[in-house]
Amino acid sequence: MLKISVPFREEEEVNALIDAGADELYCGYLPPSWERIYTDLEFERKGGRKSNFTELGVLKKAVHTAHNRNVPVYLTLNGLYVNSQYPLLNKIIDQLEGIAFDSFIVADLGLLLLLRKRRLKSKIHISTGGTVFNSRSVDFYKGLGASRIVLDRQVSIDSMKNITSAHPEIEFEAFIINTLCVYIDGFCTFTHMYNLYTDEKQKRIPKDTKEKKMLLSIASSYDIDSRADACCLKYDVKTIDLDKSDIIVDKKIKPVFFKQLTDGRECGACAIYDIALTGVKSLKIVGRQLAPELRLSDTRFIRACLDILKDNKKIKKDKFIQLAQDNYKDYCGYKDKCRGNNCYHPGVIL
Amino acid sequence: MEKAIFISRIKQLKFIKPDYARIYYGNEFCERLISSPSLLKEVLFYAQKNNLNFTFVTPYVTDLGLKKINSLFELLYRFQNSCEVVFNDWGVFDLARSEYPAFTLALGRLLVKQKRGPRLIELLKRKIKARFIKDKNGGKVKQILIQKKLPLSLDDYYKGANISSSTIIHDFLISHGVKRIEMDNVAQGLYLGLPQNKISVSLYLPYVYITTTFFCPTAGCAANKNNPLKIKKCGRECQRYVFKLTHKSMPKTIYLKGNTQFYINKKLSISSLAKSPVNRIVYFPELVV
Repeated sequence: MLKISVPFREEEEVNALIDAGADELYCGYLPPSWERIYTDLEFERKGGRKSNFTELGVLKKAVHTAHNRNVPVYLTLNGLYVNSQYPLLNKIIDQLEGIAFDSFIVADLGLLLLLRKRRLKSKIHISTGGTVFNSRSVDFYKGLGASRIVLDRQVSIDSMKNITSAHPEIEFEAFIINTLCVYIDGFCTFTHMYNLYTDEKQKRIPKDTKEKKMLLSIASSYDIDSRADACCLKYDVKTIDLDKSDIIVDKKIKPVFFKQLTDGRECGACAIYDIALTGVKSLKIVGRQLAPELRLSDTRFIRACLDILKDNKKIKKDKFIQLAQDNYKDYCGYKDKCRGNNCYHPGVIL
Repeated sequence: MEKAIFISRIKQLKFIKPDYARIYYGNEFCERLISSPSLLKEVLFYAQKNNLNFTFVTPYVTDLGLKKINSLFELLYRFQNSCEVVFNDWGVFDLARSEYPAFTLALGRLLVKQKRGPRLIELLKRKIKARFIKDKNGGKVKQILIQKKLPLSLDDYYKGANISSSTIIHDFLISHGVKRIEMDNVAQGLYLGLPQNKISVSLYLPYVYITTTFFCPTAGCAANKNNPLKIKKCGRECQRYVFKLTHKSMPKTIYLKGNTQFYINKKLSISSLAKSPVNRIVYFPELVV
C-alpha cells in the first residue's frame, strides 16, 4: 500500500498529522547561523522562517515524538550551494548528525557527494530538484548512494511504471497535492521572490517639485503581481510568426499558461489508482509553507482516497475516480465539478 | 578563444561564418525534437567537409528519448568516437560514460544551477526603486519599493553556481572525464571558481535560458481553447511561433520558444575572458528549440 509523506514545521503538529494518516514526515530547518550570513533566501528553497524549524532543540524533540509513533522523519536540505558556503554547511551537518533523521532529502550534487563522503547514518533521498525522468538517471543517483528518488511532478504515469520497474531496489515518491509547478522544478532558475521587498516604510521623500505635487504613497503594500512568482505573472504576450517575421495581433494564438486557469487546488488524487499500480512507494503532500489546518485536511483527504483502494481491492478505476472527486469536494471545500485544469495527471481523467 | 555556432536545424547552417571553428548541433530542451539519424549525418558530413569541430547536444529525456539518443550515439561513435557530447540529463551522462567511453563529455547548462531569473538583475543592484502607479481615483501615486538589502556574501551564490564553484563537484567531474561545462552569460554578472586548466567553460550568447517544462505551453497554441486540460497534441508549433512576454516587474523581455523561456544578454558578463576558464564562446544565430 502507498504511504503518505507529509510536511510539518512544529512539534505540536506531529501527533495530529500521524493521527490524520501520515506515514512519513518531512520538514526543513533554517539554522540561525545560516540566516545571519546568507539571509532566509534559498537555504532549502521554501519560505524561510515560516516554513521551517529554526531551533535545533525543538526539531530534535519533534523527531523524537515522531519516532515514538514509529514514523520516520526526513530532513529537506534541497537548496543549491556554492563553495564558500561549504564550511558552514559542514558545521550544520555536524549539528544535524545529533538528530536521528531517517534521511536527508537533497538536490545539490555537491551536497550529495559531501554526505556520501561523510558516511552519515541517515539515508539519502534525491529531491525533485535531482530531475529524474528516466531509468538511467536512477542508476546515476543509486551509484551515489541514493535510496529514494522523489520524482518530478511532470513524470507521467507511464514513465513511473518504466522507471520503478527498472529499479525495484529503490524507493520512489510521487507528488500528489498542492504546488503544481508549471515548469520543471529542478530546471527552473527563477528566483522566487520571498521577502524581496521589506515592509519598512520609506522615510526619505524626494524633493523634486513635480513629485511633490503628486500624492505620495509609501510602499506599505505592494503590487501583488510584482511580488508573485515569475511563472504566475500576467504577462503582456505578443506572438511572432517566424514564417512571416512579423508580430501577430491575432489573440487566438497564445501560449497556454496553466496557472492563469487556476480554479480549485492542484491535485493528483484521481491518479492514485494508477500510481498504485506502479512501483511508487510514497505520495508526497507538498506545502511546508501552508497553514497547519490545510496540511491536516490534505492528509485526511489523501488517506481517505487510499482507504477506498484498501477497502475495495476490486474497485474499478472509474468508480475510484468518482469517489476521489467526492472526497476532493469534501476535504478541499471545492463545490464545482473538477475541471481538471489543476490536475497533476489530466490524462487519467480524460 | 574558440568560436562555435549552435544550430538546431539544418537550415541554420547558412549562418556559419568563416571564423567559427565548431558546430554545436542538437537541442537541450525537448526530446520530441531530437534529430533524426539522417539529419545528424548531414551535419556531421558538413562539419567534416568544412573542417569544423563537432559537438552533439542532448536534452533531458524520458526512457523513450533515451532510446533515441542511444541510437544516435551508436551512429556518432562509429563516425567519430571521441566526439564531444553535451549532456543535460544525468541519465544521458550515465549512458555515455558506461557505453561510449571515448566520447568527450561536457556538462550542459541545464545541470549548471546558475540563477537566471531576470529580476535578480535589479535585486543585485541593491537600490531603492520608485515608480508611479494609478490610485483608486485614477490619479498618479508614487510608490517607492525598498528592496531587501542582500548581503554581499550572497554574490557568489547569485552570480556563480554550484557546479562552477564547488571543489567536491569539480573532483567528481574530473574523475569521470568531464572537463568542460556549458554556462549562460547571465546579466547579473558571472563568478567562476574553477580549477585552473582542469575544467573549461563554454559561454552561451546571447540567449540565456531561464526555465523549461514538459508541459509545453506552445504545443497546441493555435488550437481551440475550449478544452482547458493542459496536455495538447504537439504540432511542432514551436518551429513557427515565438512569444514575447513583458511585465512591469520583469526587467527583461522574456522569449518563450516551445517549452522554454529565455532572455537576451549580448553584453559579456565576465570582465576578463583572458584570465578566466572561458575558452569557447557559443553563439546562437536564432532562438533554439
